[in-house]
Amino acid sequence: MDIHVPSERPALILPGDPQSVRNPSGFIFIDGVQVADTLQCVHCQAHFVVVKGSGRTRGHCYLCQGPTCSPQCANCYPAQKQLEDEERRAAKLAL
Amino acid sequence: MRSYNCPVQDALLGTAANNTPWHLAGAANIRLLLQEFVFGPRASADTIVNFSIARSTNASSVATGTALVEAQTDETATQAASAVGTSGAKGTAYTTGPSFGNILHPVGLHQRATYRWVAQPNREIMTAAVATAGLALKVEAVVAFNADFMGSWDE
Repeated sequence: MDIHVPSERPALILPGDPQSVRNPSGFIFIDGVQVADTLQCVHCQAHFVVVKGSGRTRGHCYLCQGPTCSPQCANCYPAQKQLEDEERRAAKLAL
Repeated sequence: MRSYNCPVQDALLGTAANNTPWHLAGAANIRLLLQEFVFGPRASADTIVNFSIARSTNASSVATGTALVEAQTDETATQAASAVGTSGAKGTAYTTGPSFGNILHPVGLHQRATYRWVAQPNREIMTAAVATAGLALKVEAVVAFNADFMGSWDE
């Protein structure tokens, strides 16, 4: 049986340095070591790691007062509103 | 609110297509909140595995290959309204696999590593309270391998 002994450097594959954030939405552990914080997009609920030098465009919604994950999520459509709309659509289909 | 977790052990992941070793299907009037998961390949190869947590948009029609049994973290909690299922490799056990929606947490990982993600309270990944909404572990394997996964959710 192979037993993996964790090395000093976690095996997370990230193009750069994951950054600590002030109010993290989640945490990532590799082999039991905390290696990164995640932020949650206020529109699509995706969790992403802020990586210095990644070249990815993130954003901030001033209406929701929170981070957004990509330019596709730039327009304000709050996550709660999306869930309620989906539930409303499902209820309408069920009638 | 009731908390549950459900592991899938030693799932065989192939290379031909996207694998879905763990699928959580929602239910009407119940919102699911994924709060934690652990993914640990049993492989010892020095190669990458790409996996992600994705929304599934046809959760109610997914015919799970093997039904898994969730464990409630509170002994007095009732059976979960959601259903959880697995397939070692998509196409071998699913008769109808999940259709994927938004990818919510993509990861590239060394196959020797164990990955754990935990959400802050009130920052969980939430699904709408409809039967077609669900969450899936989507794995793209470079080489076939076996893996363990455990997801924890509230409903």
